[in-house]
Amino acid sequence: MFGIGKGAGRKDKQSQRQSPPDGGKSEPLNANLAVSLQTLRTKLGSSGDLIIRSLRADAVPSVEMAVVFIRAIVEEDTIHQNVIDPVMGWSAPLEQSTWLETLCLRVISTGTAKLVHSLDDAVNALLDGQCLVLTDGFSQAVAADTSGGEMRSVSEPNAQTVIRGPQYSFTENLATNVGLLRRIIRSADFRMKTLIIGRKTRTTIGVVYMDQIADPKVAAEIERRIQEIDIDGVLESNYIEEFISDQTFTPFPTMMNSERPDTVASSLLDGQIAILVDGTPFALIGPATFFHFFRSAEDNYQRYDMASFLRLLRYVAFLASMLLPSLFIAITTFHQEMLPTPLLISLAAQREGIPFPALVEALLMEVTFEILREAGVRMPRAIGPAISIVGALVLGQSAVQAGLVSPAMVIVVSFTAISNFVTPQTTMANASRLIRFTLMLLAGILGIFGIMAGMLFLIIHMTGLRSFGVPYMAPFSPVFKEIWPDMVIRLPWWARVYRLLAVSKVNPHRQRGGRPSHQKRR
Amino acid sequence: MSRIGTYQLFVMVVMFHIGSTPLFQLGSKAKQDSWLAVLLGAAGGLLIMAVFIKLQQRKSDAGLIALLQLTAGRWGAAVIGLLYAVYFAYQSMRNVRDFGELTSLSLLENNPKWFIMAVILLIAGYTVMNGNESFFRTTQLLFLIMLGSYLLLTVLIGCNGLLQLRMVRPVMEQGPMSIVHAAFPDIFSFPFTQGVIFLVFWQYAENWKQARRASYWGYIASALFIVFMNAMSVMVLGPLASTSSMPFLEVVQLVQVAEFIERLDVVVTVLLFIGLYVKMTAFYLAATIVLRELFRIPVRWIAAPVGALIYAAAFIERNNTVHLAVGLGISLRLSLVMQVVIPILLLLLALMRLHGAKKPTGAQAAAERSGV
Amino acid sequence: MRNGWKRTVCSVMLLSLLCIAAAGCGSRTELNELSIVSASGIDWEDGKWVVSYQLVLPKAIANNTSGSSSGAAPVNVFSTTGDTIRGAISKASFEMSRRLYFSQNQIVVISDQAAKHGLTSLFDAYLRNPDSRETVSVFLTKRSAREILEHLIPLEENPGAAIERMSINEEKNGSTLPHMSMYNVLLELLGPTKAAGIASIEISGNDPLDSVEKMSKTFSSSKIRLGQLGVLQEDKLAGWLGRTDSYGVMWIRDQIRSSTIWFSCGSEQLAEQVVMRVNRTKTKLKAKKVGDNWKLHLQIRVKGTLMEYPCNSDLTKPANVEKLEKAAADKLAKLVTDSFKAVQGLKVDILGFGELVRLRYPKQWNAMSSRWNEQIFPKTLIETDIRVTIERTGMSTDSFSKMQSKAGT
Repeated sequence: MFGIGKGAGRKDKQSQRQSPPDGGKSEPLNANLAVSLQTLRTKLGSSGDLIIRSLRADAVPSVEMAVVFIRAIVEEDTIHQNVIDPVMGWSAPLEQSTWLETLCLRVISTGTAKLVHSLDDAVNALLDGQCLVLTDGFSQAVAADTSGGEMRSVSEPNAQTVIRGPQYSFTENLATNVGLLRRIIRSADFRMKTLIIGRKTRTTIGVVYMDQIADPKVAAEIERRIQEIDIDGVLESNYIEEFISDQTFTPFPTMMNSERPDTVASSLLDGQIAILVDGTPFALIGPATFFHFFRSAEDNYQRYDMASFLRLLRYVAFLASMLLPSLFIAITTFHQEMLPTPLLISLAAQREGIPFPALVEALLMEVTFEILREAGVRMPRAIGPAISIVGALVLGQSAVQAGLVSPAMVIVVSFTAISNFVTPQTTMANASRLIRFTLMLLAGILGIFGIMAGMLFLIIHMTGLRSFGVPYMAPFSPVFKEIWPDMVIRLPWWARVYRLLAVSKVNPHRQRGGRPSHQKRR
Repeated sequence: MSRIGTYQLFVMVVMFHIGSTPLFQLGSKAKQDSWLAVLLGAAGGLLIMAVFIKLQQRKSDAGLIALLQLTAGRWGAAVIGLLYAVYFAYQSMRNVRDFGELTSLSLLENNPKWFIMAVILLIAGYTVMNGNESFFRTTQLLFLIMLGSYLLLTVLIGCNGLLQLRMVRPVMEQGPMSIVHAAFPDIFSFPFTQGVIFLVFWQYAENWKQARRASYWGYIASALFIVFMNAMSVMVLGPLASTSSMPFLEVVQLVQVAEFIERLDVVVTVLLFIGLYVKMTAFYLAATIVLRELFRIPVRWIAAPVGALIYAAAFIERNNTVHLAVGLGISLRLSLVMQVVIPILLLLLALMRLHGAKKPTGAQAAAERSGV
Repeated sequence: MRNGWKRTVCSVMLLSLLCIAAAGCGSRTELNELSIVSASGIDWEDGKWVVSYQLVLPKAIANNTSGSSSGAAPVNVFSTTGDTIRGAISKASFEMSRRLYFSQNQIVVISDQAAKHGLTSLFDAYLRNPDSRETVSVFLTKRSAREILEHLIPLEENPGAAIERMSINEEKNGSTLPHMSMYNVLLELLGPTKAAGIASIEISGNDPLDSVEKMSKTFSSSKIRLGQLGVLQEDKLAGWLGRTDSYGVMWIRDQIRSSTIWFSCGSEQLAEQVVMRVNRTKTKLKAKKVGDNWKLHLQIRVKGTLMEYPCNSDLTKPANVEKLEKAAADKLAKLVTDSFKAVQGLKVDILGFGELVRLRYPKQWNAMSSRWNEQIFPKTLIETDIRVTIERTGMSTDSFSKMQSKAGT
């Protein structure tokens, strides 16, 4: 159940992270039932939802027993039917020496039942949603897995929707998520390693990969990095992402995230490794190169010509959302000779009477749009439509008519903002937002030279990035000639021979390839 | 420092030799035969490239200092190596200065030159800090951009009907000697024998045999490209080509397609930017690597001082005319010595040693070799 | 200790970063700090250069919803004087609140006074400055350049661009006058004969259209039109060629794109003439040495379509069509020979004859290049070999007059 640590040197941190392995440090349960129950109550602070139900088995009516559980996180029906009922109804004769064993093996009929020895183990078991069966006179208890409670059921994805394709998304429950994945990949090579991270939250994290396809060294490295995390609580997968990424000081993400099981499954089949975090439907996928971020699940569900066109469109839109305002500023302020004369005259006419220089105008409009966008996220649903009216009419149209901004600038800013939404992965879209501001400043100071210097700097930075050992700009530099056509356009399915992470050289072929026999020309 | 793949080396050879060369008019002494002069210079440079490769062949994973040690002994290698490091830094400085001058001329007329040079030097410094892997990969990506731009420009120039074949005629009007005079020593030393820098980079090649072939083919490809660009400038501008300070820019300024694609100066500027950046960073990186081999200090500590030195040195020349005059005067002679004379001498020494070592018997030869 | 040192370094870097930001703003010009020059004119008066500028007023031109045409003219013209051309331009800052922006300049109009004085400084200024484009169209004029710039063109908003388009259009469809950009002129003047021909613009009529009120009528009292061909020798104006001669020069130089020629019906002397549209033509020139003299051998192959046909012969018979072709060829030969003689009269070789001699006989050219224009060229001979093919006779065969006479019976 626990992951493998790196070795003797890391013992200190490790031991604090997990439940203490040796019973020497923590106290055992008291053999006296009343004392044990009181200790449990005190440990949990006399919490109002701690239920202690005393009972006696039919077989030994003189012995006091108790079933302890925390109400909201257990499936009460399971406790009634699989724990209390069998214990109460057990009438076969038994001996004291084998009582606990009998309880575990023959009486309690839940899926998991094991013995707990120490107080800490018992408390952790209670907090995990298990129920304890304590018997007077024994210093060990039986923990039965009865976790459950109200959870969100499997529903449609909110953030990453497709038109054609499966319409369900992950939930906040790790077990359910793994179940969804297993339903897609029914192979014995499906591997899941569980880790528990977070001192107070003790969140379960699952590292999922395909045995014969993913690079085992990368999987081991990911596990190692997660093990090193020492933090109070892990609430969302981003906590993990920031800890295990190769480099922090970069605007570009090195791991993808997805709330769709089909996306995760196709990444697994490509040789990538998924990290599922209990408590969030968003799974992390790594290693990811720059070009992975422009792929969407829907590409594979549409015809290849349409999907190729849309993918090329995404690249263009990404460049536009990064470069368009800065190019506009640079050309209208420094290099007006590039514009055709009618366009120049039209722009010059629009700029008459505008009080701000182009750079300030652009920054104002961009910041305004970012504020609008952020407000739209926080807006309660009832007032949502009002924001679009406020944004469009009041700010856009009126600002133009008041002579504060030129119409061309409004067009540029709106187009930029819309192209920002085309990128499938929001982390990459956010990167382009940040870079856009820097490039605008550079363009305002140095014109096209500034933009080129900035882009050159970015390219150098990107070629130096790695995502878990995979170069960020693969398959273009270094060149992997089998893969790069599939990154730029979407090849038809019969041509997609190579897995996209063939850089790992583990099992690079996905299929035999070649046109199907009925499509071959006679 | 990591390994370099064969394709990366090929791209680097092409990009380095092309650099910013198509923007100038080489061989303008020969007027309309300048393209022939360039061809001749390229052929000569090919022979010298073979000399470089033969030198590297002796120990294919050795850096410059190690190669020098094979022939010149420890102290000789240290001295010559230091000379080369300084020479590379000097060439980088010339490129930085070129960059500042050309940007001031065409793009940003009113900006102070120190600022432009500082910006580009910072970017080069950042590249050097990231190591040669980052530099070679960036050059790969820039290669695609450069290829696309030149292709686009050539197509547009052709479509516009600007090419006039009669400008190149009559061929050899002034006789072949004018072509030879234009080719040697000018074109010979810039840009065609600057490949001496690859003696520093070849040690990182993954596969030496393939790297050798890639270097030859890269050189030939870049030479043909430069000849073509030169010929195109002459075909469009005719006699104007020799007086213009940036003929390719003039050519591109004349392109007018469909009444709205015009004034494509910026494309030329992008190409100039990329070309000069590649050359400047290559020299900077080479200087840093040689110094690292000499003094065994990690790259991070050397990069900053060398960069500062290059930046400071870029201000020594007073104005553009001095810069160009030095380029055609002292710098030319210096390049000839460092790029042609010393490698040929080294090769001759090596060959002599090889021949000399065959005559004496085993023990004496072994003693001689270990004494080297 | 170490923290303090690091902090100092960081603050110094931050300060220098801010300074750098300020240093960069040198080349910035907002669009409303520019005044766009769409046409410029060069005059020479009383020993000084007079440079005129035609500025575009964007607000009056652009179509936007909020603005409306304010009744102002779309352009504004003013001039400055100076001892040198660039000196005159720099004096514009005395009168102008904005910087003059030449990169959108479409045409340059040079008065004949300036051309007679000599245009070397103009050409040098164009080559040396990065913001003057060599793609501007060049025109001469017999009036003053400023008058041309002040003249508006009906139906067009930007007069400078309109004149350029007019010249391009003429070259494409009528091919009487060449459209010369500055780059063409410079190349010609740097060629072996150092001569170039430039079209001129004139104003017809007496009342120039220099205000918007005058444009509100249905007809224009005066118009800008293309005039004759001015011939430059080295950098000075040497003379003028009329339209017919210029047309012949275009034929010789193989610059005809499509054109219209008319000729008589052959044997019948009718008042009307046959009109043929030239679809494709190719001229091949060859220089031949004849004793001490040189001969220009001209081979022209023309393909055309009939546009007007008033004669009576039957066009379905090939023999008749051949007669027409011969008549056309004869007319062309006469046209070309007359132009050749006219150019010889000016003693300036703009036909490219010298270039041909240089290409074929480079050594002899070197010996005589300095005497070519004045002495050798005026004595040279011309030999023509013209063949016309009438590809199609249009959509009808018989002429209308013939149909009428047939219908009457």
